[in-house]
Amino acid sequence: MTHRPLSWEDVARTHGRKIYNFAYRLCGDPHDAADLVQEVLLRVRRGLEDFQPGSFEGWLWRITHNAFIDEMRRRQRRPTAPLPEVVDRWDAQSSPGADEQLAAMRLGDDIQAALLELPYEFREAVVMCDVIGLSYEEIAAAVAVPVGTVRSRIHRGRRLLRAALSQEAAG
Amino acid sequence: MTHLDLLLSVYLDGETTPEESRLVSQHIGECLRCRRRLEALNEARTAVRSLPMLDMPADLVPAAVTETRQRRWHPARWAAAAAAAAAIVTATALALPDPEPLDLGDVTRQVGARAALDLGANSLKFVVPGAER
Ligand SMILES: [Zn+2]
Repeated sequence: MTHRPLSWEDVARTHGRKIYNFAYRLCGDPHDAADLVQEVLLRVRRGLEDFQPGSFEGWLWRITHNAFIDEMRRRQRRPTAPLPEVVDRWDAQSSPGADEQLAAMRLGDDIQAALLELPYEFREAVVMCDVIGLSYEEIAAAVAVPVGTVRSRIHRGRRLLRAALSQEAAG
Repeated sequence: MTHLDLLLSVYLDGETTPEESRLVSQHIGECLRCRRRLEALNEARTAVRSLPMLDMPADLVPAAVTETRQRRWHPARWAAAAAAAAAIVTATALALPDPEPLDLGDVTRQVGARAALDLGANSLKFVVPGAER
């Protein structure tokens, strides 16, 4: 199989939409998401010369992760929002019929809102896993943490999400 | 009985080791509480997975991605791109549905043609197609 050099246009075409969705789910704003895609593609173009074929997903998502972190720092936004009231409602039973309500309420806006409430590290891990479809190993490479940390972040993120969505559904 | 927690999410993602998989499937077969936890986690997982994949805004095009070093990077490609400049591809490059293999010579030539026209610019920016023409 011949291997053509990768160009940033290839990356834009094959991964632009995924990067956009990653950014949108993380920040909830289409303009910020578009800016992030722009920044990532710029970094991709600068970095392609040094790219060694073999770990493209990890490399690309590492760039995306770094670009997002840098952007948050640049804007001096606090990336995380504390959620004391929904922590540890793990086994709490909501009112009868709550499951049906939960299902009915599970519109995209509610899920997006719940995502934005998560601490940044959990949100990023959940989005990489469940929106982008990266493996734990790819997430670990992108975020530069051990796989065990990825396991923990995804799990804790889902627990918080579930609690937040249950709370919304319960009213 | 020691209940399960973290492993349940890992199990849902198929990221458990064979040994962990055996542990989880045996435990949830015997423990209603952990079965309910697994269902709850799966609801959160399914909720996020149900979010639609959004299209890139259709009016956004990466119009100019140029640095002088890119010219010497793949000179042959840039020459071919300039020759093919009539076949400019515009807004759809970022809005195509599913990823395809990365060895895409045709796409490189087509999209590269557009970028080649913009060698004077020095930054990546998005423009609205039509607004500049
Ligand atoms: Zn149990």
